[in-house]
Amino acid sequence: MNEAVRENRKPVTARARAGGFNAWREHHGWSMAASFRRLASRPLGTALTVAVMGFAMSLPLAFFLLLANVQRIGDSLGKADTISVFLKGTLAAPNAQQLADILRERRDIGAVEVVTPKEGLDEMARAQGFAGAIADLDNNPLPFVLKVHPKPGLTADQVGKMVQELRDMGGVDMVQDNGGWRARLDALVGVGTRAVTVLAVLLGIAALLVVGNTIRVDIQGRAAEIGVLLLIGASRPFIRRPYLYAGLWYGLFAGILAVVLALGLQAALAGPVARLADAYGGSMDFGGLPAWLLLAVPLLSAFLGWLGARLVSARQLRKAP
Amino acid sequence: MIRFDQVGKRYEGGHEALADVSFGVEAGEMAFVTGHSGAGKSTLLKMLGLIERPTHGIVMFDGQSLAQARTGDIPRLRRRIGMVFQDHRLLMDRTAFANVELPLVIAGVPAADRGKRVRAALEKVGLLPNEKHLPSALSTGEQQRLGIARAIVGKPTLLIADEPTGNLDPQLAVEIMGLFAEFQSVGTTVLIASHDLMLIKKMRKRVVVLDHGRLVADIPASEIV
Repeated sequence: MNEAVRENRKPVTARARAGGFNAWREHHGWSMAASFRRLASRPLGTALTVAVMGFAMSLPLAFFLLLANVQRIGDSLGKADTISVFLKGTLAAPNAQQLADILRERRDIGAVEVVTPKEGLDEMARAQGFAGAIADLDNNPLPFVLKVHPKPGLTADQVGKMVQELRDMGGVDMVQDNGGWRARLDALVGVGTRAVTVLAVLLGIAALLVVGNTIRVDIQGRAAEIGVLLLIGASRPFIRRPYLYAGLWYGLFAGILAVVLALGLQAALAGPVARLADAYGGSMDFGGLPAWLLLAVPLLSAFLGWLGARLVSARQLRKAP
Repeated sequence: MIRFDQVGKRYEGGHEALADVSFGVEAGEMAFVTGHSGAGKSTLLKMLGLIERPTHGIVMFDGQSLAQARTGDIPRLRRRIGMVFQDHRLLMDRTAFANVELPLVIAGVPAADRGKRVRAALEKVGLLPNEKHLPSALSTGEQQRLGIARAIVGKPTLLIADEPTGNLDPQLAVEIMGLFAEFQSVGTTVLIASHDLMLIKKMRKRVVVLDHGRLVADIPASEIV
């Protein structure tokens, strides 16, 4: 008996659930289209809201672009952790190897590369466009160079002390430590990154408020409509849904606008930066915005729009009769 | 279908809109509620639409006590009742078609079925040629008919109308009342509040008379002459 009842019930429940899902899908389809039509019916207001939001979000993207390229310039000019030790011109290959072996014994040094005069000359010819001038040289004026990589995690003081000790070694002509300016550049980029992050968060909040306020005004202007919808049996979630979609649309369009603006900036910068790179012997190429960011910005923006609409509509609709 | 049992409504501030009202309406019946303005007609209809709640007594609809309906149940209950208002309450920025379509959208009727049902409702009230018009392009009588189309498109078991002919000239008023009578003839329960005694007499339906919030007469259709 019980079995039979359960057997009978099953399909009904399943059908009811399918019906609920269909109604849900029907509601969402309608809300999505209705909210889109509403935005399209007042293009100027929609465009203004999207523009304010889009410009706000393009700013952090622009700073990100600049910062990433400053970082690249820094990288192309030398690794932070390389100390170049120029040996005296009189030293020959075995002496250079010997010195390198001595340095490798030190506990604060990770690796030591020996750059022969020929390698040095080749590198110069390749990187800095001196090929013609170098070909004219009768003999190679370059000394052996030891590229010393300190162990990671050393403090600036420890590196400074090591540089001093390297200078005092016999056979060493000159020690060039890129660490100083590089550390300053890294610190600067670090400050910039933090500033861009804070700016992005603040502008994200601004975008949220812009959408929230637009939706709030919209809901206020439609108080009569909301009253009618409630009277003919609409639930609050149903009434709210088109506003959530409107927020989503605003956010999505603003995010796309921000990406377009940033790509425009990138295109405008690419030419001058390429010339700058040429002037430095072409060792640096322009870094564009990564694809994941171009995709993430509209999605994040759409989420912010939805969230703004959600926060405001919950409050506004509670006031409805 | 409907049962009012010793229903009273006292507003904050002491005004008593309804007191000790008891009557019932059978399924498929059509009845008028009449009385001078302020007699409590609107309050009575608003209780059925869950716009107002009684302070005393019980209102039953289709075997369910409306007093016990939770806020979350209200939308579902309202979908079973078609409501027509004196000021028609249409959405002025949507076409006639879109206005009538709304209850079906709310009920989750698939888009494919909506068009047919909306057009059937518009045809019933004679507005099929106007489906693409905005309500502002329609006459007062047409707007009221559009409101009726919206009320009946969801096939409600109960149709309530608060002074549906209040803004109409006598000839249009008769036309509208005729429409309500047609819906009753196909099985819908109809309850109409009106102060237009001449019109009510013509309709020869049951009349419930209110005076200062009290039920003073309940005249069956057979006794209307």
